[in-house]
Amino acid sequence: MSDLLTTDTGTSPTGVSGGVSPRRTSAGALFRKIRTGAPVVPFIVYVTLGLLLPTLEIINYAFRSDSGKPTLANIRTILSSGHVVNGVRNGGQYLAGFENSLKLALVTSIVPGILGTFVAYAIATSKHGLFTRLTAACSGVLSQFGGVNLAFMFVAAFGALSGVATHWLANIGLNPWDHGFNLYKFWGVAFVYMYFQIPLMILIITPAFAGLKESWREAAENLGASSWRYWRHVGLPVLAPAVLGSMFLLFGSGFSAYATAEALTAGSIAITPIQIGAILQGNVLANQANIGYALGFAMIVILLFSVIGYALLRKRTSRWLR
Amino acid sequence: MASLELGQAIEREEFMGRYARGNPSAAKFKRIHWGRGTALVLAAMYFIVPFYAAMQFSLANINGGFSLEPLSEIGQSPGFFPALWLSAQLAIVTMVIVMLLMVPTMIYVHLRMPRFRRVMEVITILPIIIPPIVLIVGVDGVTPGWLKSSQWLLALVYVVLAMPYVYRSLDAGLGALDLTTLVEASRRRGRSDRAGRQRFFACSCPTFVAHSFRPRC
Repeated sequence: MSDLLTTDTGTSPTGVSGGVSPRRTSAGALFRKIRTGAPVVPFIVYVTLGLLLPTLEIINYAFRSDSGKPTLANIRTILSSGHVVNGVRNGGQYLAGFENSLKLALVTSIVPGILGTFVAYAIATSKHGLFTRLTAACSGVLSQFGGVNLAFMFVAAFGALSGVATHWLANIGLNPWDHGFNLYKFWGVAFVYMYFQIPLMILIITPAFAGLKESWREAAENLGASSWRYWRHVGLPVLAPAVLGSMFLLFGSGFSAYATAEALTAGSIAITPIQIGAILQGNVLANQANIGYALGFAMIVILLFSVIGYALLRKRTSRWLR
Repeated sequence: MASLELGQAIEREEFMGRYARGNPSAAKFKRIHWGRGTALVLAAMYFIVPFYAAMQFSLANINGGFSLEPLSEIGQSPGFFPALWLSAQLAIVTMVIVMLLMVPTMIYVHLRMPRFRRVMEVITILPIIIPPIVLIVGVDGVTPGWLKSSQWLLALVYVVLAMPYVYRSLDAGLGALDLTTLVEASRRRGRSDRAGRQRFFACSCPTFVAHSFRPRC
């Protein structure tokens, strides 16, 4: 920290003064390098202990049997579709969990992605500064909503018997529970997830509207383009990478959400995070002590793909944001 | 000259007349406006109704009337205040650690190790890739017993989970701030290194904080 105020990077004249042996120069360079890097050490140490070691632990144990021998059995177990014995399916619940999780993540990234884009556009083009700031602040708060609070709010509003909104809708003859809606099943959970996914989308996509230059719209209008043609040829191509990239991020958020689904369904919906949670709480079958690690590893792999997709699309997005 | 101007004026008028008459977007603008209103009202309803319902459930007495009694009963339930106090403590400790860890590191990296920014960006996106529930499985495996029995382990893990958000908002704050200029300015003004450093932090910190915690929409 002592030389924080010297902005020139690293090339102080001490190391290159004549008459020093090459060896001492390299030692000096090494010393300078260490000194330059020293202030980041606390960060590196913290990240190593809090993030890197746990991750390595997961990867390590995902490939070990109960007795500690290297094995692929855990991976094979979580990817097996099970086998039918006397008409009863045995195993395969982890693959079904992945299927449900992926479906849930896809639904809760595509639908809120599209809705969030529309709402964000409506907000971004609004002329009321106070309104824009207010919705921005709300989005920030709501995107972090989840868990027991959120589950309670939706049970209060859309519960089968005493939900407030259920009553309203029933009064106009549209009780959702009579039309196949179930708050505690797949689509109900997806409906609740939108509560934090839409604000998240608004939060990430809004900066992209800054890339949509007002002059482009004016130019298109002066050339006689209709609103539809403007969106078809200018607006959408510019926005598409940003929207898609944000959807990848929503996918990750929906895929790894745990507390909301757990609180809402009391663990009855078979998605991977809840299965990991059950294993953490000690519901482990014999010979499958490391299944939890394997499930965690598989989730990391899937999320890795989504973040890579996000990063690639983000690169394309930033081209218009200069 | 005059005729030229007149011609231009006529042309302009003609153009504008055509624009107003034959332009389909006049009707379209109205429709877009309607669409915007509908989108916002529907979104607002989706977000407000559950809040309203939860409030109605929380603030109703046995007869279904409005009452603030449930709120006053919170304080009487055993374990509420200790739990609230613990949550507050955890939040404060997390905040202090995350700020002490990230703010100096990021200022330093911005000034002296620009190439390390890429590394930090990758590292701080990892907590998004690794879901909290998975991270807990890993933390559970590597934490020594004495720490596992401590409640402060929670704060230590919260720090990791907060990193992506803290990094991104601090990065935006630093980007909005011309650090190099500030550093040079404070160095010119300051008599010694130490005075310069104090001046640097005095003038950059408020701006930095203001930029970092402003909502970015």
